[in-house]
Amino acid sequence: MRKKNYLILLLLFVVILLFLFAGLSLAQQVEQTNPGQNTQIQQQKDSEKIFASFKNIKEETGTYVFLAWMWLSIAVLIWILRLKIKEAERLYHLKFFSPPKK
Amino acid sequence: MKIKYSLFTRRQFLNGLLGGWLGAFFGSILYPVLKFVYPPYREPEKVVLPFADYSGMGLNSVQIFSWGSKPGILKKNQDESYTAFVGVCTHLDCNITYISEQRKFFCACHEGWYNENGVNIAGPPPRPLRRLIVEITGEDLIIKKEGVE
Amino acid sequence: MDRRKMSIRVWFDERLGLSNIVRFLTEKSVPQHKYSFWYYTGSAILLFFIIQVVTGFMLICYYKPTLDGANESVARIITEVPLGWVIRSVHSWSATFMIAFAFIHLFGIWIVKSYQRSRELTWMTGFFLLIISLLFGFTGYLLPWDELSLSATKVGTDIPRSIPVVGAWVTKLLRGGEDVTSDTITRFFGIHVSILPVLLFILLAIHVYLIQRHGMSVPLSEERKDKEVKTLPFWPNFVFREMIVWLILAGILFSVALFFPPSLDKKADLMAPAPEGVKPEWYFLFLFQTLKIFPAKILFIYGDTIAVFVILLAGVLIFFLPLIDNKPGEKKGRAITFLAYLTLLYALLMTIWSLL
Repeated sequence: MRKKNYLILLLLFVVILLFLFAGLSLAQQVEQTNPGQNTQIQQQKDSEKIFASFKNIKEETGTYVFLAWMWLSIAVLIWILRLKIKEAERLYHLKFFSPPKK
Repeated sequence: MKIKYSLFTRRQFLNGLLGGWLGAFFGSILYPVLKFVYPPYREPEKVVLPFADYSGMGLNSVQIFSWGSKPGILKKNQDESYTAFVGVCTHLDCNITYISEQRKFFCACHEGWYNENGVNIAGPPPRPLRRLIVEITGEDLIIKKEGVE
Repeated sequence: MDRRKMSIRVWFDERLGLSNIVRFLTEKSVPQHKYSFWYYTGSAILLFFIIQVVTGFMLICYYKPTLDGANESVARIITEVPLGWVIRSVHSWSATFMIAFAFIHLFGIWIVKSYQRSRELTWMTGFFLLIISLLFGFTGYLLPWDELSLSATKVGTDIPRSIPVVGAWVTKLLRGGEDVTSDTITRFFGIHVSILPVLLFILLAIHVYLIQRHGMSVPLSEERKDKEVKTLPFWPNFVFREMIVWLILAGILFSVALFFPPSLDKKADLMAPAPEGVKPEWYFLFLFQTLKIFPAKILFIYGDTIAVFVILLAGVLIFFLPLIDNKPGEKKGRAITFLAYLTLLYALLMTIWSLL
């Protein structure tokens, strides 16, 4: 794929991800600050809710490090896989995988 | 030192890189999985009990208390002092019992015997019973690990 | 070194005959055209299902399927167990992604008409797979036993009651009695972890076998073009591309799961009044809204009964779609494609309406 197309695809992907995150965090915010929800019953229910969160700063930093490592690994793996795809395409066009003609 | 031939082909290198990095990727996922499946066993540092529950003990008798998920044994000795042990056999973790007539602790699993101070005297147990420190302050009976404030 | 590896491979091959499968995979070809990216949707569902199985195994280590233990055990998973909230979050989000991709896959096949000619059974097994996925979601939703999930389950298991004759029987079977009780939670847990997985494996095996037997279908518009359709060998070319898709999807799943973990409401009280804002998971919202828009009674029949019948009829029609769509190139075929877009639009609008 041409470099320009690849960059556009990457940019599109990042934009979609940002939209997804923005949408989800907006939904969370709306849920928490919605005036219709601030009845006494709802407040009481919210206080009894158990929210999932990090237990300590070590866990939190560890998670962010893991996320960074994960995306880095994915990028590296995609790079390696693209090289392998190019090689597989090359071999396919050379008819390397076809059985030998008698 | 430059060698005349390549140790591996470009294909082998690429395959090795792919396999290695995939392995590392899955290894990094394996760590949180293992951490989840093996929760840490937390032994309590100390246990605070109401002394009133244990004040009626006769001499040379024992009472069980909870030490985390294991039983703890509180023993009132002949001289009215108290000793506390972790009530599991040092052989293979079975719960032990106290036979007051013989003044010995007995483990029924493989017939292990300890004397009244928890020292292993007969049978397979390799070590004496683990001791805990007993403190009585007013209404509280505090039992704690050695070395804990 | 190579010779030694070769003999191990030969040893296994003599006994298992796996080289036949490998040869089949290298000979299997995947067409390359404008709509090829739709081919990735099916295996994406499989990826998320595998993640569900793995995280499900882990959650089972701590979850207790009883009236007293359910909510507490989930609370323990979220608060005490190391990284428990992460595993639960991944399980919850992977369910959403799996069902989302199941719908994307369904609509993709419907619009492109891959179900024609000899591929009807593939469509039908796929339809059952979708129903099973939805049931997975439904049964799993009750398991935390918090207020919202209890109410959603009460409503959900009450809906079959409006079917005459068999309705009450179905409701009693689902609930393990007249009402939602501790028996319901045990039953739902059993369905969620043993019955549904077995059914899914059997249907998936048939579905995948049928796909291998008939090959990947090509959309009509591409077939009509004069030049021959380009193809790629499945192994290794297509598999490497699929790996890339899987990596990106898994990355998105983990990132979303880490930043938006689900919370746990307080424990359900069987005697308490229904809480405000009861609604099912997002994939049932359009059905929920459809039920709501029907009036309580039309003539002498309950609105609910008619609504359930309409939905069941729609389901049956979708199931038999390959047999109904026997003239794909003509007006009827085009109308059915248009219906796909209409159904999608209806579902989206109903979902949005139910959230307002």
